Amino acid sequence: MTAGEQRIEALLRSVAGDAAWPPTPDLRHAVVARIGGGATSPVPASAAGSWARPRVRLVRALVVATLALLLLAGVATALGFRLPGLDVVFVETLPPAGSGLELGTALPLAEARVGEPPRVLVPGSLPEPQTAYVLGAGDARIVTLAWRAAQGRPTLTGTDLELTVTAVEGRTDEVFLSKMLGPGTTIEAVTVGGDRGWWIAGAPHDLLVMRPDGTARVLASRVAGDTLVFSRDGTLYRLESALGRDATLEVAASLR
Amino acid sequence: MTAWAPGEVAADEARLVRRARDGDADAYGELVTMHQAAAFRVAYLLLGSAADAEDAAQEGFVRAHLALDRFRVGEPFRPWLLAVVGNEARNRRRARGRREGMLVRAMMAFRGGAAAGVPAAAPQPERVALAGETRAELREALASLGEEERLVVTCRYLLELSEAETAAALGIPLGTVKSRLHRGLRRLRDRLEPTGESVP
Repeated sequence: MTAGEQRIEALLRSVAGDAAWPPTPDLRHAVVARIGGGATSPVPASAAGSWARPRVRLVRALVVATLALLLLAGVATALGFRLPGLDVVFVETLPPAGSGLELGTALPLAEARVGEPPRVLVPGSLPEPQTAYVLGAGDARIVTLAWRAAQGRPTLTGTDLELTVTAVEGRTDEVFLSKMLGPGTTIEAVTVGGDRGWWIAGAPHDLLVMRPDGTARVLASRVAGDTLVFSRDGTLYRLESALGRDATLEVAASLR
Repeated sequence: MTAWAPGEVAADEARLVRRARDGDADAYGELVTMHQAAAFRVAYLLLGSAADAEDAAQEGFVRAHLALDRFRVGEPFRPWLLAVVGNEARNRRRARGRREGMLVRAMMAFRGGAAAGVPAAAPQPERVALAGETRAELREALASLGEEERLVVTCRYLLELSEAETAAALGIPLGTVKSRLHRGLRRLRDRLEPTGESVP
């Protein structure tokens, strides 16, 4: 190593202490919780002893490991943040927020429901929506139903609405919608009439749409509030709601 | 983050590994506490996202626990662990890379942050880590290295890993670490002290 390289090495070492890495999260609790249930724990060493014990132990360890991997794979599949047409991407910082709602062209409800895809469902537990919007055309068509909040009721940020229900075609072999979640946004697995979905709450997030041709484009960009997303029969439903988690799940369960 | 040290700490670590193998989850928890900073930072370096790094590090610790019977007690635990965590982070990076890049590009293009179709450059983790450092020249010089050399130099000097730990974390042979370090240092010297012999 030359003197110059040694100087560079010394310089690098001198700045190492000043490097501002993100705070290390405390992983201990989560890891211990995941390994402490027995199924993922190694076979106790005390199981070994006679000539046959090591083999038994090995077989048991393999069985336990296999079961654990299958369990993990199943859990990952069941809980992975994916639905047909939707993928969740966590990002460190959100891009600059958009402004206003861009739900598309307002149409009468009956007209918005004509022409699949997507298959538009309406909540049976609510009166008919005040407005229906259509954005895009063909298999990129997105339909949104909107309900205005009554006086004194909570509203979606920057609007006079308390609920929107958006339907978009979701296919198993392509990603259609994507949520970009920033710090402070939480995501919880839920079910709606047996269909799995996600309740996304907390800090606002953004909406991206993947086109059927595989390209990504922002068809509707805005800061979104608490949102329920779930997939049913090839259609992805998205309920952006000021009603809270439980009431929103009730509305979703009444979609017909 | 301090380098792994032999002696008393190593003996404690070996005892913890044995207890963890015997099913003592708390003992493994102690090992997690001892090494989570290194594991998290390696994952962060490879993934560029604290949230992703936390997931990868946690998964790495769980996978390492499942494989604990394959670890040779008495050897340093950290390089072995970093190999597991690094592998997990690289797998996750491969899986998400193309897709996430496309989504971010789309968002930036829509918002005018970057021209449509042009990848939006994500900040390199080591640049973020050095954001408060006044020697901007060093930061820029480091950023100018190719990714392979930059990762090795960052692991070795900014994460303060040993060469063996760097090799384990990045999944490359020790000899490759040495050669990339050598090239990286020469390129940094050429950029910061341009009077020397340049790297071909």
